[in-house]
Amino acid sequence: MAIKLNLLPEEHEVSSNLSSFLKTVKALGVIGIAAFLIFGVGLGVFFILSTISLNSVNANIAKLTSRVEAQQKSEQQIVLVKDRIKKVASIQDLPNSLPNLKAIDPYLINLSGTGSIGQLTVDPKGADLTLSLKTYADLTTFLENVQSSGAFGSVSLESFSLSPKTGYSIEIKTTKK
Amino acid sequence: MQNLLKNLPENIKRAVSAGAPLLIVIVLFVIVGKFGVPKVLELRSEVKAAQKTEEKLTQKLNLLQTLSSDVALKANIVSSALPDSNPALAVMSQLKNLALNQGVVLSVMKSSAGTGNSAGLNEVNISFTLDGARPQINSYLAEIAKIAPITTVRKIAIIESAGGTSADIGVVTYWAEFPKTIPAVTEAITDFTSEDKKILSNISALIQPSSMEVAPFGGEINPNPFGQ
Repeated sequence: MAIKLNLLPEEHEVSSNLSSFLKTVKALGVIGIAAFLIFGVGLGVFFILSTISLNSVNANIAKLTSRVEAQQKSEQQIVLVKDRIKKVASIQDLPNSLPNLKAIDPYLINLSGTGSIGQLTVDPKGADLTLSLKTYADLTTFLENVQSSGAFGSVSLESFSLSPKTGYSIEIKTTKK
Repeated sequence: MQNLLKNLPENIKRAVSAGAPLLIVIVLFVIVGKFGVPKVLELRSEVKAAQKTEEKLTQKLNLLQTLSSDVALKANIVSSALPDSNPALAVMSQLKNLALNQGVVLSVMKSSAGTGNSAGLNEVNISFTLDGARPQINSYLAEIAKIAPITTVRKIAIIESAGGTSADIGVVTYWAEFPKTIPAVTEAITDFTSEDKKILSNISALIQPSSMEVAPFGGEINPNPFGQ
């Protein structure tokens, strides 16, 4: 049977609780050193790899930049084309009288033989029209066609007169739909 | 110092020797965590930013290479449709040619000073009188939308009489200064959208103004042009 001998003087004796605590602290210290080494080496490797990667990407950027700069004329032309397209698109939204003329023109073409146009004024807001129609039936047909077409925002009869020689004279005003 | 250590109780000596490595490791972790980790994170974000720039540049270069083949032609077409200087003369010439083609008589043509708007567009008003048959006048007006530089019809006043049809027309044409700057090299550019392509296709179909080219004089150069 093994005999426990304690040859240390009493003042050098360490309590068993403290001894086990210190053992744990020592073990933690060793684990900490190992963890720090792994962490430090990992961080260092990561740093080196990142630096290499950054240098490589920067070198590629420099190459690409010089190639893009060589295409500067094309880029200027693309910028010009895009700028013009944007402005042309804005022109399309500006006032234009042609749609109003196109809206009323089919009814004027159908007039041939039944009446004649006196004056037609078209602007981007609508159209003013004075015309003469031979018979009452022509007049009502024309007005019904214009009003029921749905091509205008509004149609109003501004003036109306009857002459035995020329027939009916009317002035109508249409607004853009 | 050594005396001080010698005089320390055994418990403390043991505690110091056992705890010192752990303490040093904690301090090292704190130092590396405070300075090393942010440095590595900063480097990673630099790499990511550089990779993004690289991607943008690659994309830009590919797009430039794809578009460069016909962008010069497109630039000419759009510049003709919307020039950088007052296009009144070119438009007047176009309107006269159109009148010849449509069989109407064009007279009293006037151009008035243009105005500018917030979109950078400058407008020039042109007015003129047309005489002819109404279908031809209508056809003429419809054709105005097909000429370059872009011109829109603002005012139409048609008067019909026994002698024929006369129309006072007011049109507006446009011009805008060319862009003065191009985006930074690293700034991405985008391809033309379908809407852009549609507008480009419409512009391409416009009737271009006929340019006069003076042919060089044939024959030998007179060595003494001011002599007899």
